[in-house]
Parts: sequence; structure tokens; C-alpha cells
Amino acid sequence: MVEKGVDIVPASGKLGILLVGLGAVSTTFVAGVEAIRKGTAEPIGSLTQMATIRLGKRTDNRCPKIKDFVPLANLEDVVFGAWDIFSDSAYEAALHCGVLEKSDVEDLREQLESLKPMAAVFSPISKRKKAAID
Amino acid sequence: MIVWAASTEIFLEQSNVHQTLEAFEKGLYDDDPAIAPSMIYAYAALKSGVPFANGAPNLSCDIPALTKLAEDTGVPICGKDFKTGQTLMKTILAPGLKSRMLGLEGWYSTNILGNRDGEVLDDPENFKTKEESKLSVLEHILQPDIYPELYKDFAHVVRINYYPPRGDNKEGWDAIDIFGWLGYKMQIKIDFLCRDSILAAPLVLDLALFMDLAQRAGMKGVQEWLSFYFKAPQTAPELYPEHDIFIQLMKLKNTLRHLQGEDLITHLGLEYYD
Repeated sequence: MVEKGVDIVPASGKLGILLVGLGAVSTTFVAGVEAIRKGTAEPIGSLTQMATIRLGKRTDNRCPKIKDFVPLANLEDVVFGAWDIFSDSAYEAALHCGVLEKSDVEDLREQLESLKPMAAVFSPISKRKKAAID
Repeated sequence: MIVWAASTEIFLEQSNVHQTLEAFEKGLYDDDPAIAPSMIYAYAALKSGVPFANGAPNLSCDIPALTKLAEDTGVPICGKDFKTGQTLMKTILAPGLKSRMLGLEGWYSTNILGNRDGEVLDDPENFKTKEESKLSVLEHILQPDIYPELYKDFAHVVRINYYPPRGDNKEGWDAIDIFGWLGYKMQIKIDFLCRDSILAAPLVLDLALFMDLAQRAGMKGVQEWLSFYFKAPQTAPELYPEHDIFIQLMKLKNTLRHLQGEDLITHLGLEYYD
């Protein structure tokens, strides 16, 4: 078991997040982080960014944000990479998935276009699925 | 770190090739069909010292060969299957019903969705993987073995239908048949017009940051404290997973307190009345 009050190596340098699959979830995630970094969105739904953690007794009034309590990497230091079976950039994939409004995707076009997937490992697909994808 | 955010793979049972690292590596060379692409990503991650989180229900790193490799290489892993949409609602609601000792006769869940997730899950082989992940949640929360009067033999049905007009905007219907005092029946209906990717995206961010933190704190192998994010939390083999979202949240926050040398919070509170 990890001991109480363990030494944690500080977060330094970049944190690379590699996404297997550059589809609806991944492009929505990347677009959101880019929008948050630009200051045009809040990190709604994220515990690391928004939630607080109570420390000590209820009368102590110690309730920092989680990101101020534990040494997490900063969003500014996050960089992205991805694999996919399609070669679309995150910009094209986000438009194709249709999760986000076109105007939201256009606002982040430059950042999303710079994320191009590496070729993915994939099992041979059934005829049925191939027909569905085509 | 690496996050599996691709489609659900076809259903695989654990077999011999998954049991030891030697067997697994031999399987890789022999192109064994029981080694799924997601396992190759997980293997590559662990060999490279990179944390791996699995957002889909496929086995991936939840096999003995890879959990052992994660411990040996000192790398954190977690999974499986991001808890969004209908299962999120289930793990919020079911603990509440159980906390009041209300009975459950049945829970019928149906989903209509039109994204590629829906298309892939319309295929029975892929849906079987998802179904296993979705079905186990209520059993574990309600514990019918301990509460047979309330939860023995409740009917639990989960369906997914691919319906293109909805795109990524899923509609999850739940018809819940409960019973109370003197066995009188009541019904709850939920119609969740949800957006799966909008619910999943912040989980990817949290998992990336927490898995990086775990690695820097020297935590290796299965990260059960991140169960909060998963439909089928990966645990040590002898443990049942905690599905109750409130237990999961307490587990997560207490882990952070523990790491930072703070007292754990028990919510006892008697000390305020001395």
C-alpha cells in the first residue's frame, strides 16, 4: 500500500495524452480542453478542475479545490496525440461526429487541425461492419 | 498516458493466452485471435512505462498477464468503460433506493442512439461486451444475496438500438418497478436525453490527470480508487467492484487525503457534541 503522506514527484514538463480512437469522445475532449485554455469555456463535469475537497473538521473551514490540494499537471502543459483507422484530423473528425456545433469547432479549427492521428492497429473487420462504415 | 476512447471490441472470454506474460507474448508473435487490438495498445503502454486507462468495456488491461506486467513495470492502469448516461443514472439512483430499503421488481433500460458507438453496438458480438458491463451494476449495488426479500430475482433488461436520426444525442429510457411497505408497487420513469461524448469528455481529462498523479506518487497496477469513472471498475481478482457512486467518490477523495497526509473523513460527527 502507498504510505500516508507519500512524496509525490512534482509535475514538470509536458503531459502527453494519447487517445486510441479520434472519434466523438476524443475530439469533444480535446476541443473542450482547448476552449478552456482559451478561456471561452468552463471545465464543467470535471472533478479535477471544479470540485473541492473538505479537509479536517467541519469547523476548520478548509475546503480547497482538488487541483490546489494535489500536484496535478496544469492544463497548459497538456499535449495531445491519437491513433485512428481513419486519417481525418481532429477538426474533420469533430465535424463528422456532429457532437459540437459547427461554430464551436470552427473557433478551434487551428488547434484541432494540428492533431492528426497515427495509423491504428485494427482487426480485420466483418463484411457487415465494412458495409456499415462504407 | 494513454486512454482507450475507441469503439467497443467484440466479446472475448479470458483464455490461457491472457493468464501469464509468457503466454501473452507468445500469443503476440503467433497472432493469436484472442489478443484484441486494445490489448496490444495496453501492452505497448506498459512496456513503455506509460499509464493506461480503458474507457470501453473490452478486457484490454483487465487480464492477469497485463495486471502483472503493470505491477512489474510500476505503471498504473484502470478501467473499464466510462460511466456516462444510463449507467451513471443507475448508480446514482439505485444506492438511494437501497439506502431506504425499498424493493426492486425490475429495471428495464432501453437506449436509442445514432453515433458510431450505436452502430457498433447494434452488432450482437460487440453488444455482448457492453451488456456484461451494464448488467453487473445493479447486482453489485443491491446485493440480492444479502437482501433476498428486496432484490431476489429482479428483472434487469438492457437494450441498445441504433437509430441514426439521433446522432450522438442518446435517449435512455428507464422503467423501474419498485415496491414499498406491505409490498405496494410503485413505478419510476426516467427519460434521459443525454449527450454521451459531453458526459465522457471530462472523464478523459480527470483520468489523464489522476493517472499521471498516481504514477508520480509511485502507485502501480490497478487503480481502484478511480472506480468513480467506470461502469465496470477493475479491481484485484478477489474483490467485488464498488459501483455506488457515493462510495466511489468517498474512496477517491479519501485516497487524495491519504496521499497528502490528511486525516480521512468518516462523517462520524459525534465529536462536535461533546
